[in-house]
Amino acid sequence: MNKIYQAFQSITPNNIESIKEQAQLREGKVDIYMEPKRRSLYYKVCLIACVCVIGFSIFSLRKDHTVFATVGFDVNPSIELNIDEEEKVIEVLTYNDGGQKIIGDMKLEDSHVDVAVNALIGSMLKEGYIDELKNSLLISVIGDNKENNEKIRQRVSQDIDGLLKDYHVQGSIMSQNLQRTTALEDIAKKYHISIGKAELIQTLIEKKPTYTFENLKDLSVHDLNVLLISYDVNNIQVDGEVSTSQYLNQNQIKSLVEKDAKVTQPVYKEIQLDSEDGMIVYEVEFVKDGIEYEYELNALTGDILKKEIEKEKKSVSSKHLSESEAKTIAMNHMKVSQVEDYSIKKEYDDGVYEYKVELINGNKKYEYKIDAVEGTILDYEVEKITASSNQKRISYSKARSIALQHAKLSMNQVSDMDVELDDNHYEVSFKAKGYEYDYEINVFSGKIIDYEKEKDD
Amino acid sequence: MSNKEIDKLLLMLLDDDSSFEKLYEQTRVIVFAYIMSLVKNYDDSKDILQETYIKIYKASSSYQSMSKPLAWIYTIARNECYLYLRRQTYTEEYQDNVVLPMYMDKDTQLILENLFEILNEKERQVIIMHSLWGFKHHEIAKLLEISISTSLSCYHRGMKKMKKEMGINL
Repeated sequence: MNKIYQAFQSITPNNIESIKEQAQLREGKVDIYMEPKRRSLYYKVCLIACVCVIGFSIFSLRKDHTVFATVGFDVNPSIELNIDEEEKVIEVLTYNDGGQKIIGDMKLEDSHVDVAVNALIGSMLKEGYIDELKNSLLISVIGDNKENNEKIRQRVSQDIDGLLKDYHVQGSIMSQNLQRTTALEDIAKKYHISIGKAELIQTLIEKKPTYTFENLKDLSVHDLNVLLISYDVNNIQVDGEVSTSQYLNQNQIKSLVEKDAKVTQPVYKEIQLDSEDGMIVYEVEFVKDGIEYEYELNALTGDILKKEIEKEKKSVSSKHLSESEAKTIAMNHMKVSQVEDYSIKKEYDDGVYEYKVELINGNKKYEYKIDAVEGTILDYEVEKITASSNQKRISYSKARSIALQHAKLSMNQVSDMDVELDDNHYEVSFKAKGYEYDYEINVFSGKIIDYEKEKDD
Repeated sequence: MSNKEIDKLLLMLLDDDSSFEKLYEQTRVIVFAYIMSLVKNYDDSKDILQETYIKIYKASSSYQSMSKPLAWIYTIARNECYLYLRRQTYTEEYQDNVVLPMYMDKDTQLILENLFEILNEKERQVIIMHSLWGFKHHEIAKLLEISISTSLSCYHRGMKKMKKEMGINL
């Protein structure tokens, strides 16, 4: 046997079990893009022969044709095709070395824009500017004739979608239709980017004012597309899903931060891709035991770039949970979606506002104390209650109204209303008009067993 | 193992557990050799090997019968290597040093050291693709985007260097 094979054989790891385990856990589908079979020579000749550009509103110096519109392509290199009224390429403009590499020695002038698009996409795939990881492409049709631009935009983006599918790449094509303005041109010139990319960045800045041209200009079109996911935009059409598979997924991010913070099952408030210093990062926010954590991680490597841990301040001014939120917290803890009956009271105890929730389910009574600000369960008890085979318990609210009726008061005249179930009677207590009332009511008959009315001090 | 058998294993991969094991057993050494030849770091290569097979498993649902299934596997391994290399440049951690395993037998050590120190990257890759993967020179030319004559000369030059250094035919 081959000695080189033997050498590698002795050092190659064998861990099929762990691979199988991880493969089954891993979500999502993987598509493999293979180099397409070589096309015929005729096709190649055609490809080299034909790439073209779109024209627009100024006169091209090189030819007598008028530039009717410009079609811009951004992968990361940027290419612009100026075309004339017949949609033939008059001029090819490249923005950087990558653009020049894509063009290579192709002569696109004089060919129809569709043919040029075909050749450009082929070359972009071949040079590796589009693949299953970086699957974004930005098409910008720039010119004064809006209707016509729109037609070109639709046709070109459909063409490209088809072409990519031929190459087994699921592309995410952003396309836009814009008018050339001096403001946009100045920005594009200033940052050495294409007009199309300038418009895309402009759109993002409008959505999130903390973004600036400075920190977005170096991002690739693909990265910008990733940022765009978080926003609703209507001036840019996005066809096809942007691939984020080169980044870590949310579950990986979660396990990284949980490990770092040494917490389990925190409540996530935000996990979002964002941009920081020209790189794509995850912004993560979560809360555990009243402590708020904020992380920023490199989306590619998972390196933790920033973290902030802050104990939420308990203050009276903090927003309190509603009664129904408190009830939901208790029911989630009980793992039920409904209960037979319940009663809630908000109390102030040791500087903390808390909800006291009593819930009846089956022959059990659950008592919860829930922090009214943070929603954490401070204490809970479960107690068996006597059930009667032939008598139905009256509800908490019925007990309350029996007591109120007896005291000749209405609900809005009283404060500190509290109803508790104690074995086979309800204890109803409330305050009104300087008095404190206490009732004991039989849970089955609704009969008042005992009552007290004392001056409140 | 013939291309036909690998094709069959890939097609049955998700339905039959033993297919994946067989495929792994039959191909892991050549896949690892390829990854090592590109990445040159033993520890990282182990991770990439693992990731490659996870991807093979996940991608097998869309696999369609082909005459050269090894080229499909090669594509996945190559993508993983490139992803790794790109990340390294991104995080500026890239180190060009060769990192071999800590412990290995003398013969292995001799062969690996020579492979990584005497040969350039292209020679090393062509040799591994030709003598381990069994790719023909015209196939290598296509996969590496080089000419057939370059592939041939890389192979012969590389083997000659190895022979001269080690005094044996490999």
